[in-house]
Amino acid sequence: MKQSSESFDIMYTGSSEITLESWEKIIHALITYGERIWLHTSVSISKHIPNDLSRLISRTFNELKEDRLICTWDYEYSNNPSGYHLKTLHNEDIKALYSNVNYQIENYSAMGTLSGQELKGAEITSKIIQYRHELWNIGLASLLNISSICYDKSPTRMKGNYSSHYKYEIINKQYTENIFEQLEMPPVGFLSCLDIKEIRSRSETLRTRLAEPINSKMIEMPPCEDSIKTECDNIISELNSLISELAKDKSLRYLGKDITKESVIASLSVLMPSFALYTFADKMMLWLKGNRKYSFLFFALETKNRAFEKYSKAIKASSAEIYYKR
Amino acid sequence: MEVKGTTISEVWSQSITRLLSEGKWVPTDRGLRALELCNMQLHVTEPLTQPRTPAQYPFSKQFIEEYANSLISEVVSTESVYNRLYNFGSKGLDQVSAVCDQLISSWSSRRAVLTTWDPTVDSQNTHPPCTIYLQLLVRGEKLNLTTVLRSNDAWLAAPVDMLALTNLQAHIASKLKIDVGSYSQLSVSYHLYEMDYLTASNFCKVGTP
Repeated sequence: MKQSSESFDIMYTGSSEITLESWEKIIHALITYGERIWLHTSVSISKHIPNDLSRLISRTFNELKEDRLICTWDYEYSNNPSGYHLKTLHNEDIKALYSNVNYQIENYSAMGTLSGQELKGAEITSKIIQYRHELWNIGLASLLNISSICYDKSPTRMKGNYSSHYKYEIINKQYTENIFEQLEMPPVGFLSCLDIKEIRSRSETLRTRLAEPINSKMIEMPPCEDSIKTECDNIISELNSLISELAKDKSLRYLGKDITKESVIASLSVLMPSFALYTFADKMMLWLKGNRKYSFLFFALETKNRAFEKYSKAIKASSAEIYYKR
Repeated sequence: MEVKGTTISEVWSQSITRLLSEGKWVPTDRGLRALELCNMQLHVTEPLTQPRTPAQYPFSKQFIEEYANSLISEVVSTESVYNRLYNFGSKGLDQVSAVCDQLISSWSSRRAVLTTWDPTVDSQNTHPPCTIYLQLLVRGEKLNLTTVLRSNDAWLAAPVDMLALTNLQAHIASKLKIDVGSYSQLSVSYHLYEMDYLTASNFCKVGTP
């Protein structure tokens, strides 16, 4: 079921072996803007992830596939009878895409420029190959009717001409990552399938709140990083105001606690280190569920609490050091 | 894994057939999977003999010519393989002139080595050179060239890489006033991306590995 006009299907174009970092990106996309994430059938969890973590992620991966929040596609020529996938890219379409991509490559080569850079770089083929891959991925997404792309590494083309397929990568992800950083969100990659579904059900306000600035940034390409930061700062300020307002709300008094602004801030774990008042936060969450006005705050709290809990469990369960570079 | 033949075109065609029939699918940094053979050796006995460009190569003559001459025609960019060969490092070493001097002073030299890899830059480089080592040997009064490529896109890059490198070989041979000998290439990762798989397999008419 479509969540809103501000969510879309996203094609993941990273390595066919999912690392902890790429899984983090996939889940981030899924809980913020992704209606579904599309992967090639060959994509699997990397063998280099420690066993205990790998089992955890594999279980979530399979559950998300069962719920069709993660979907798979394949090339017709693969002719893999055991492979289950929801979309197939037909050979004739592949051939047409192949010709089109090569045509584009030759045009750019003839112009002597590649992605706005000088073509004759340290390694000319490396640049051309990268450009081919970027065009290929955009073409694949179009043929598969997938509206946006999630990259493992930012493509060079994003700095030059734009495709609407970059919308998630260049706009939505930048906003949500900035907000997640400001909220000191723990990694979300260890959330369970159930967590992810419940958090997604609360993310509409986030998308709605960001719709206006995001749509305006799409007009003024390339978007200015400073303006994204300013807008995100505004959103965090709004959250602060909400917290202050919440602290003054008389209806909270039934919680039987002397509520000050500081205690609310602490309990919400939004601006301060998490879980100072965890039990109180549970009560607060119940209250927030009934107040639509605060649903973005609830989304932030829900995500942070669940992510922190699952991340802590994963750390305890694993002997390996978990390293993230968001 | 070794493929040997008379012309660049012949060797490339054979190498694609081998890659399609014996390669393994591997993940890549770029996202798309690639069919890969490790340590592929390509030996061309007559690198200047036509046809040098394979008829199946999908890119235009202009593209091929531009690329084929990229190691012998001066390139303005300081960030180029050309620059690494003719103006290497902080001292701006002209490696091509240096190997010519080396061979003129000692025709049997095993030190006529050129490198394009700069460890101070390339470990963090987005597009580091693929051809990283070249060695020239004069044997039987001919100039042989051996190269090592850390990574080689078999479909897009291998034919034009061989053209560019053998053009450089011919360029140095003419400076030394000797004939061009054989060309040998070790591609540590010789691969074909899945976007090229369908076209390549139609060309070679082999089944899915």
